[in-house]
Amino acid sequence: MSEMGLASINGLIGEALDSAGAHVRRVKNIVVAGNTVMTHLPLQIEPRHIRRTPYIPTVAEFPILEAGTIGLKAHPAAAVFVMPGPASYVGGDIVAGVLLSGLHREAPLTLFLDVGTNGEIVLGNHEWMLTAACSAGPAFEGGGIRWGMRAEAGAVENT
Amino acid sequence: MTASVVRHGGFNELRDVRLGDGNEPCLGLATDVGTTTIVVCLVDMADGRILAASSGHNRQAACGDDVIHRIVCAETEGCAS
Repeated sequence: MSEMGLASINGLIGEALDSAGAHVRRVKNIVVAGNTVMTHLPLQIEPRHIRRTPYIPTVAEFPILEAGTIGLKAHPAAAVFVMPGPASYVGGDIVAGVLLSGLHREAPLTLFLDVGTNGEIVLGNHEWMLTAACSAGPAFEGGGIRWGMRAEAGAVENT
Repeated sequence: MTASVVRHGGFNELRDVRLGDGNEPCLGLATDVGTTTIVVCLVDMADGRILAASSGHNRQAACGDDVIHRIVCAETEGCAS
């Protein structure tokens, strides 16, 4: 699982470098955002207590890592910043969204939604934040549904 | 000589030292690792321009569609494999 995740990421890094005509050693910084399971698996961190008691991630805040150590396609000493995942199903996507929108610095209440296979939301302002998560995959990708399918050609036969 | 430095927690950490004038801009990657889809953007760190982007399926999907199935799969085969 770890290798499959890394291979997927490295394949896409290779594609991006090729299309920009850039050499891999010029990549000195990498930011990674993903839900807790998606950050635990490629880093070979034990994920089992995300779904079992005490329902917490093994690592919530990551130190700055080196690309060469974890096997990411970049300069071997490139700094890898993995977004923190504060709770079992509240991961780096939502943290990145909060940081980018700055909702944690504003007085008005803001609702930020990340609707993915693993859907996460955060509601809050500069005083407090509440988060929740649930799988949105069945609704948008047909995951776990017998006759379900992704939102692609054929999903709507006619109107 | 060109040095690459990362600043964190009030300290500067030396990442790389090379001979010559490293005039070529430093690149960064923004990576969104989704359960189903992964997206990568290649960024010029000097001006923040996005130079290239690519996206594709997460190969882990062979082990299940959602995060719970991925954990179960990692438990049975060991998360290093």
